[in-house]
Amino acid sequence: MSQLAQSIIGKIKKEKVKPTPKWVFLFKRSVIWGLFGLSVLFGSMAMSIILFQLRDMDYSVYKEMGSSLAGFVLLALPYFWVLLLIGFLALACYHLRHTKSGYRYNVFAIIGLSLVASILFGTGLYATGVSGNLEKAFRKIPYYERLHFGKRIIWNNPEQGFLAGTIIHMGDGRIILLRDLKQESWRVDIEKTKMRREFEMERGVRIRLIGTATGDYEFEAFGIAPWLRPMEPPPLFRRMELKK
Amino acid sequence: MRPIKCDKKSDKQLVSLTLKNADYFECLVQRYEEKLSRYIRRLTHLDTETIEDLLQEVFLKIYKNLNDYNPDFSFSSWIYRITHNEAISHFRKNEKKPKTVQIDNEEGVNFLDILPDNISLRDDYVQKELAQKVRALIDELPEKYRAVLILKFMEEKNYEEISDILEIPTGTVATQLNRAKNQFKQLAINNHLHKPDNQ
Repeated sequence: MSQLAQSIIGKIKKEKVKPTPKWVFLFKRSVIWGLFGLSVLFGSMAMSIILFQLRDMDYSVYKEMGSSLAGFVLLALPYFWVLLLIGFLALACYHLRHTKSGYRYNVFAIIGLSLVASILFGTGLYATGVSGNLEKAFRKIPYYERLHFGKRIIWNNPEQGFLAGTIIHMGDGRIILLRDLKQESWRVDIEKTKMRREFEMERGVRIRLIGTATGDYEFEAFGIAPWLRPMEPPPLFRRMELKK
Repeated sequence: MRPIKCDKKSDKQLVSLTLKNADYFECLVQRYEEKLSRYIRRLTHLDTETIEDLLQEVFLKIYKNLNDYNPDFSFSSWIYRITHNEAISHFRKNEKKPKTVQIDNEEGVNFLDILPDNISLRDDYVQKELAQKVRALIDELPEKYRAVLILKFMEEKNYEEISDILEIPTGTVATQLNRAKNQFKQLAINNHLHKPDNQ
């Protein structure tokens, strides 16, 4: 026996060194896979909300804005959720890279796999209506809506005919008073207004309007819709209803 | 106590025997101590005493982690990986730059493969002197390039083994090896060991 072998075996016996049990390694591996799974799950949730919010945009207004569809989508993208998606993707890649044989895969393959998983699960969550419920829950968080700043930029543009705000007075049904997103008060003529969506018009409701600014803080509305698109059945169920 | 018989037993068999009886670990130590000691020396140029201490720590770590070894992978690559990580972390902890030490003839000669045709190894003296110079150049390379060159040209590992030891994809091994060779060639040109390829 070599001197080194003798010394090592001696130390193992003297100090009663034991190999670490298999379950410890299994547990560590499971934690890494679990963290990878959680990162993909949260990434999928972010993806599903991105899809939900993109669908929530009123695409008919991009022509009225004089913008291209690509420009409109770029402005309307929910960047907060896009950033979260990127963050969770990075976490998923990090954890996958730290699995037992994760180093064997090319970094682009790892990113691609994590992205495809997030898109597939995210689309699934969106199609089954989970993203709608998530969005509903998030809307209860104060200032959550402010994160969707693209939408605020689009609808805070009375000179171009886009105005949004909260109804502060219903008036006689022809004129309403509105506090816009900058907290300025507007007198809005809604006589010629077409409801773009059916909803309850009352004090405290936030709305968006298409029309013309007719003077200082005076606006004539042609189209009116609630600020937030009302929750609808998820796309999968809507399609099933249509088939009936 | 019955003497332990190591012959004709594969590494994988020895791992499972060691998990039942620690005495079998002796076979694995004997099989790899020289190779690993040489690898640590090539990578770090630590002195013999430090290498022995480090090697003891490495083997104890290998023993403690035997249950983490996956028999689908090569045992040799697995213990080289542990050795590599321990050597590098020891090296970084002590913040020592590799120092060139007296080396055997073969130490730098394998690297001369990177510089084909331009060098004639006339006699042992020239060969040894060149080997010394080449080895000194290797030490000037960044750590990751040094490791990949040592594994390829001195330890004679293939791409897959290097990938398993350094925990990088085989494509990255190829890229790093290519870059390492180019940097090495440039250093060799700067030190008049090699003529540029177009001359």
